[in-house]
Amino acid sequence: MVQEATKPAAPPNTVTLTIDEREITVPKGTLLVEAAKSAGIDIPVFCYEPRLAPVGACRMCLVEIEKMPRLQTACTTPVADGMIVRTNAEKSRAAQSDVLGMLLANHPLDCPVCDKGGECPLQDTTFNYGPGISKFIEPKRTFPKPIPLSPLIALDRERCIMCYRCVRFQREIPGDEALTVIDRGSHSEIAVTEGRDFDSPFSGNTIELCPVGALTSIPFRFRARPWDLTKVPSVCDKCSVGCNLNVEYRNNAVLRLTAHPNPPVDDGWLCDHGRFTYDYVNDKNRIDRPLIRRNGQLVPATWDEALDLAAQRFRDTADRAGNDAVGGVISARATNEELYLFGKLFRGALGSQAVDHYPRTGSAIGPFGVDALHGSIEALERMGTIVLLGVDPLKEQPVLNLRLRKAAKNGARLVVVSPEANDLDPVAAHALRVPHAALPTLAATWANLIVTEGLHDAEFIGGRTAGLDRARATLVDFTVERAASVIGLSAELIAAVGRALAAQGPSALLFRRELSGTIDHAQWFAALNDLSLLIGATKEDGVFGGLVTQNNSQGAIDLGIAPEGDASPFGGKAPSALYLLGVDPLGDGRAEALDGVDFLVVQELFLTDTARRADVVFPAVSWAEKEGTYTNLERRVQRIRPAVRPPGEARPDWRVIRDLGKRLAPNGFAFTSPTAVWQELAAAVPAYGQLSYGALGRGGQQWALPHIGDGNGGGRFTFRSGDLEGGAGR
Amino acid sequence: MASFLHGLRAYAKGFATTLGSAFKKPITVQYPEYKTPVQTRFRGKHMLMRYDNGLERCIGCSLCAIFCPAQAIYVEAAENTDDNRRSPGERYAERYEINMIRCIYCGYCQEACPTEAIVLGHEYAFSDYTREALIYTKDMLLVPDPRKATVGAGAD
Ligand code: SF4
Ligand code: SF4
Ligand code: SF4
Ligand code: SF4
Ligand code: FES
Repeated sequence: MVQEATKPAAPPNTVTLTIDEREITVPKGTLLVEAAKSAGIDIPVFCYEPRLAPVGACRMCLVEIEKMPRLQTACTTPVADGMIVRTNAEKSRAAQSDVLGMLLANHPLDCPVCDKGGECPLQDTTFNYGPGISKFIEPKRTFPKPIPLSPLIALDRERCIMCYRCVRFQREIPGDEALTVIDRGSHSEIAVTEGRDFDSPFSGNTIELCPVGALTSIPFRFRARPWDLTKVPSVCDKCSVGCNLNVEYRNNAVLRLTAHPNPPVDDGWLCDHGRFTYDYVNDKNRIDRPLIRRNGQLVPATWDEALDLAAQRFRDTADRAGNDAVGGVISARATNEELYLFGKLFRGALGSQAVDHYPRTGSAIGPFGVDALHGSIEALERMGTIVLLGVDPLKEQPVLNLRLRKAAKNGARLVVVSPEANDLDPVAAHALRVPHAALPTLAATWANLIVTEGLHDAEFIGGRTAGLDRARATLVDFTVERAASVIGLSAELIAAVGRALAAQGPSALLFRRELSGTIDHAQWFAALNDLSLLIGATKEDGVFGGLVTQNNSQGAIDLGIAPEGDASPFGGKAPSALYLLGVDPLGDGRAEALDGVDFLVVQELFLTDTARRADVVFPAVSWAEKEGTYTNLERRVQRIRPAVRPPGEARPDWRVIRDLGKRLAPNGFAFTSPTAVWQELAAAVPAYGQLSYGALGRGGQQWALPHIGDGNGGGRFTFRSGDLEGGAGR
Repeated sequence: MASFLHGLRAYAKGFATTLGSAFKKPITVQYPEYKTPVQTRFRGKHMLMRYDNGLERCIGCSLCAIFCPAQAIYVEAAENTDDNRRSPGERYAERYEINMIRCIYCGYCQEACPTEAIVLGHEYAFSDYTREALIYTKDMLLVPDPRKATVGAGAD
């Protein structure tokens, strides 16, 4: 922030300098370009990007510094006390104009046909700092027009200004060498590294980073000029990270998704799956009106007919075969509001316990007594140690993977334990190949090793935990030697990594909730619980949690959309009447879930295999068409906003559930908007009650974990291995 | 009395003007049989021009549309391919529409166009019965291909 240096002594670790006659105090080590930005002084840049290491490649940011013989690049020069900098004096202005002149010498006059035109830093910088007229009359260097770098990204080499942002992004952020520079001088080109494909799951970010129209999106190519698009800030619904994005549409068609940076969640990145998966929203084959089965055929019906029929049959089934004979399964990608209404429809209006979400997240109650992540995504950056047990974020939570790489770059020791090669192996301090079945043993072994060798923080364990002695009785059998024989790794290695975990500094433990194979999950969670206490992952500055996978899995857990016991409509006893919202068991190879179902209601975007079997089909709406909230993997509740209108007669999903509710219950379903549903939900779920609805739309808010072991007379964390039956496990 | 004479004088002057004009060559014409020529810079119905080789000049850049003060123009672009080449370069207008009753014939579109593709011509008689009929589509605006001998639809 700007500080007018009228105060005599600046705080330590800061530097005071003068930029354009203004005195500015900034932390030591700040780059000149950032110092200027903090004072509202604009230094034009191309290659500089705060999230990438500075290279000083483009020379756009030249400034005059007193007592320095030549102009300096503001993007690579750190501030120094007493520095006197001019960004707008004659020399710097001339340099800015000359650099632009040079960049434009070979730049084609493509603005009218270029997809970047209208949001192009080169256009804007030329307008603000450029020479105005062209001195260059020689023929320009030409290249054949765009070449595809991948099925998603086209490269126009004529437009490239060699800022290397694309290459640097790929190397520094996802750690991928797919892009490179070939040739030299004015003949340099960006190219795909020989023998490689540009198949990085984060490639789309280069489109946004490129300061010119050299890298453009192939799916978006020529679809609209930027000024024709309306942007609606929303949240990605493709995984549990919940990256923020803009839904950009024209004529009611979603044409592209761009990052809407929410740094604590996504650092401004999107993965390609999130960025490029939107065509289905515009698909002409979407269900656009209710259908009901007449004489064996699904035929169009009015909303009233379809709702009446569904409600009637649900009621009849409940009366005839008992309340639990009517079941419902809702997608874990639905909004909190829809989940809440769905739960209320079954438990409240129908009195049925057969309600579930899909894919069902296995429960993982942590040391805090709730099933949620302790800490935050952002906190991972500050870790000393991060242990990943059986998770592969690149596949399931892609942008979280980037945060873990950043953590490693910041000095965190990553311990990656997974059954297969993991994208994080190269940046990990230790990468161990361990099958799922052996993970519980490994966790218990490490816990045992740490206590036995006294490597834990005795003060924390003594003052804020209970039950260690009981736990030790169980853990003591998990010797390194035994683990070595179970896992097939050397005892020395297991011990060495175990000791590394206990090193001081904030630590994180992220784990897979459901391990494949026959696993004693109670033992798995007890071991995780105890290991997390011993390495300090549950301390104030730590991170601990089982990563969820769907964009609103956490919401489904928080709202309790899961049956007690095994009343699940999936896997348990199939109900006679079933309502599936956004769930396609036939498509997912779970045909048995429909055995014994006489009356099936399906709410879907498309006529899936399951929908084809239904008796009533309601059109569903996509995330780009509705309003509501999602809870991401770090308990952050964020708001999504409708951008486009759903096709035909399709209605927002919450309205459909509400309308069924109105038909099945005398009252309690008089909601007029998703916000009204939120209000009731927030009153019913204490954790959500503390949130401010306004904040949910501005970057979201994490609901607070209960305070445990905070040392103020609160409860203590408990070791759990001691609770296991039979004491010394396997 | 004076006012009576004054009135008479006014009548005489009026009839004299009428009589005088009655024998002058009329400046009105029998529209639509006859039409007065328009000035060279008259701004009438738009035309989407072509190059001599028949390729369309329009590159679908939408600059006309963003300049248009009446928001009368709608453009959707697409990419030329070797099998379907409509304009030189990479991009052409897949849809191009002007709402002729929104247009105020200011000529800004012509001014904005980087390729001199949109030109306001001399045609002005294009009234119709419905609003929809007055949204002119690309095929109604595009001039005929000069390489094709037949004069097709499009030029007017
Ligand atoms: S393609 Fe774009 S991002 Fe990459 S070097 Fe060229 S201008 Fe920079
Ligand atoms: S990481 Fe997840 S939330 Fe983020 S863009 Fe990718 S799919 Fe969407
Ligand atoms: S003449 Fe003027 S009002 Fe008419 S289309 Fe062109 S810019 Fe728009
Ligand atoms: S008429 Fe001219 S300005 Fe309008 S889209 Fe075509 S090329 Fe661009
Ligand atoms: S921005 Fe400083 S050299 Fe490129």
